[in-house]
Amino acid sequence: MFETHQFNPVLDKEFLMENYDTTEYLVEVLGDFLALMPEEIEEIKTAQAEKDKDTVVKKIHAISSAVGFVGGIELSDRMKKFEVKAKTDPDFDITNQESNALVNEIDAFIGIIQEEYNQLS
Amino acid sequence: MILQSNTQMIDTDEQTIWSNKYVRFFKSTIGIHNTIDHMMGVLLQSLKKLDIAEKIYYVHFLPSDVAEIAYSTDASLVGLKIPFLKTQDLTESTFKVIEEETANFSFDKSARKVIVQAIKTDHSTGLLVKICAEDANIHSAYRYFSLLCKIRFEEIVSTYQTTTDLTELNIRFESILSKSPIPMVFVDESANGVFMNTKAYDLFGFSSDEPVTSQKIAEGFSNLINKLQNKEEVQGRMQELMFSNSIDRWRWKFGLPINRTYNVITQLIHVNSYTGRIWIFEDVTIEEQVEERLQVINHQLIHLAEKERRDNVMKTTFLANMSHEIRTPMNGVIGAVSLLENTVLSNEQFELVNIIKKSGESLISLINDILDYSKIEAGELMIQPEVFSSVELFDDCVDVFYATALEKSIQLRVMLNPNLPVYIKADRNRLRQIILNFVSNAVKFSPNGSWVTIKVSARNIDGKPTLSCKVIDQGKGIEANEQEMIFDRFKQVTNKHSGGTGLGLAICKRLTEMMGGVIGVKSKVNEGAEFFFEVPFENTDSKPILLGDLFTKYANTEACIWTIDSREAVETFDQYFKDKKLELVALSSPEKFFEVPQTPPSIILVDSIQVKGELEKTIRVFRENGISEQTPIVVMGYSHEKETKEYARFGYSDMMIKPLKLKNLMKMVEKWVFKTVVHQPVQQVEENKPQKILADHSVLVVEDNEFNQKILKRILEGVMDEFDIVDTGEKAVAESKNKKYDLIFMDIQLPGINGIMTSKLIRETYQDTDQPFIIALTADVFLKDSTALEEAGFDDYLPKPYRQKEILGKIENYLQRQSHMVL
Repeated sequence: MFETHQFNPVLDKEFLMENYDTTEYLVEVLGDFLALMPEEIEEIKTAQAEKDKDTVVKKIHAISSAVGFVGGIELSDRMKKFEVKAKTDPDFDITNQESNALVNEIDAFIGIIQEEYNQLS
Repeated sequence: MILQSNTQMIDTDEQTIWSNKYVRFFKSTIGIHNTIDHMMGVLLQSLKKLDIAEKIYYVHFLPSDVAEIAYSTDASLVGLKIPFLKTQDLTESTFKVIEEETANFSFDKSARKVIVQAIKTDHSTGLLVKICAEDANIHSAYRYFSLLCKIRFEEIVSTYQTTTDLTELNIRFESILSKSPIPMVFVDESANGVFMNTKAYDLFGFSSDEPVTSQKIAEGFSNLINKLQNKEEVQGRMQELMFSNSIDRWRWKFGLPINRTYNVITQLIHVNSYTGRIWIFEDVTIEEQVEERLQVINHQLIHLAEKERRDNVMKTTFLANMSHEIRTPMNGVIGAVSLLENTVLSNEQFELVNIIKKSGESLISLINDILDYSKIEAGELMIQPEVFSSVELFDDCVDVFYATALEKSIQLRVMLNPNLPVYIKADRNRLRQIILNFVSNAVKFSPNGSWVTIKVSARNIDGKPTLSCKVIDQGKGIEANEQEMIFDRFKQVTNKHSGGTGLGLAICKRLTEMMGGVIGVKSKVNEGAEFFFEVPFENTDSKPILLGDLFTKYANTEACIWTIDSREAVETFDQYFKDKKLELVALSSPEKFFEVPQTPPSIILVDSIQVKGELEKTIRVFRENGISEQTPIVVMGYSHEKETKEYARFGYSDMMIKPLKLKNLMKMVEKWVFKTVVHQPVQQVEENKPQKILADHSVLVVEDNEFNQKILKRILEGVMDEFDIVDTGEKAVAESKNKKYDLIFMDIQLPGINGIMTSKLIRETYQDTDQPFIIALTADVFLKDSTALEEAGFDDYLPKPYRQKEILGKIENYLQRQSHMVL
């Protein structure tokens, strides 16, 4: 079990304990996340560079739940809010500061998950 | 209106009864007449015998000094026998002499011998006094003949009396017959005895002083028949008398100048050995005129009824066409709104779109009402039972009035009794129509800020399960005399400007009756009204799942809900928490929760109306009294968007949209209570995990995201060996056609057709009674509180990221319990 493990504060430990009853299980989930997400974030960055708002929003939506599943509940909520804002505001600039900050934050989050994965495995 | 032809309106049987009475009467008269004749014969014989006896007596035996005098009891002299010379005539003077002599025969016993004998007959009593000289020699033969005379005398008196009585009776009978307003003719078999009463004389045209004979009567008949309008018919039927005793319904119709119609009854009469035929002529002129008039009226009515029927058909056709013309563009509006609903909208826009859609549907429902009444009137509306969710039915009905209730600050609540089956079989659309009508009226006539309560329960009436529904308002109430007519068509009470067609309650009444139920209203002025109906339904199973059964899962959930709410709101849900560990504590203000020790709350529900704008203060009171941020505070209010923005700064956790509905509360409990009660050790979760007993069930996961697929796959592997995963809606529809699924987890945002459309298509591939449970898995914040998921046919939803326990809870709910919970 990982009850005594000190998780990064951005992760919701309670959620993780509730969902994944063994360390192995959690490590497996984190591994899957790390196997898929870097590619997703690269696609978001590419779409952002191409100002393809639709793809960015769809990708953000798609990975928001994955981020939540690995304990990024707070980040997942902010990704959803971002999605709402982008969808409801026709003039929303997908390359604006807020967008860039979020993409960077997701990027950083993947790094945090990588660290946790390393520690737990 | 359909009328039967009414040519038989005059009761000919009634006439025949009267005629038969006359026939019997006539028979009696003839009988009496015969009896009189017979009695007269007896009397004559007796007199004759007596005469012979007297002659013998007088000639041979009566001593010259004996006299006999007979007195009746009234002292009148009825007989006198005295010796007189054979040559002596019995004159007045003789009688005088006799009387004088009789006087001489005073009861002077010294000179005379007096023999007194009592005489008794059936009709009179008297004395026979024999007076003779004391020395008179009374011969034994005399004694014998004296006795014989006595017997004869008695016989004569008796017969005379009877004959007199009968003759009087006969006179009375003949008088009655003669004065009868009905012409009667009697001719005996020998044609010697005839009788005609006065009216018959008139009919036959005989003068009253003219003696009638059988010959004359025969001529009279012949003349009469010649005057008939239906002469040939009468003559033809006359032949029937050769073979039968009587003729039924024999009409003799006379034109001018007689201008009458008679119902002729003729019958052979046999009394003793006496036979004859009686003819009775019943005047049915007026009756026939009435009959003819009625026939004309009847034809007119049939014509009018046919015209009315045609008009009704035209009206129905017109209404159907008009309804179609109105419904077509309305369907366009609703269709467009549905499309709009699936676009990106703010919460407020979404609610507004929803209101447009509901209102449009309500308008279509109104048009349907008008069409329905026409159909009911034309007998074309059929009751069509179907299986449906009772919860969904009532919640849907309340949703329709969301906007109106909000506008008037009316609190709508549905109180579903736990004994109500989740699924019932009845005519859903007709029930909905009645409920909508009741709720519409309740909302319309209730004052601002009041409550409208819908109480629903099931009960058994005459062995049949019956849905009992009451819609209770707090309006002005209805006068007793108005209650009686409120279900009549085109009748509106109290407020003539309330709008509507006045057809609503009349339709409700007819629909209820068609479904075999009852409808009514209870009300007192100024105390509101309670409209109710009871309609039988069929259970879908011998042991139907009751609403209360859905709450058994809370039986061991140790949690406490604090709520600041009105008594009415708490009543709505309290019945579901009885006997459960899930506790509901309701108080009117936040401070009261801290006055006495309470079980710590798992969730706090706050009615925004109840705290009257002091929501911020309310939340602060809780937080300042040790209720941590971990305990969610859910605000219950009407407007989502407006209040969300306003309340956001107060730190509320969630909002529960009113009207108060069971499923809303259950959603909150599912979302927040299950979440808050999972602070248990993981070990305990493990124990509660469902075993792999789901081999008989098939589950489909529709999820395009590979990572999410893996998460769900791992959870499902813990409880079942086999399940299918597809990544597009198209594949899900194709799989559903090939395989029957019991439960489907459906992602909403899919490439190609989305999850909502996919669910609709899957629903179409299954029979109504064989539908899978479909649970939406969505990260879409727009959808979680909207009705779009319900309308798309989802049974439930889980927000992403979901927890393992939530997934297992759904599986347990839907597959292990085998109950279809509509949330």
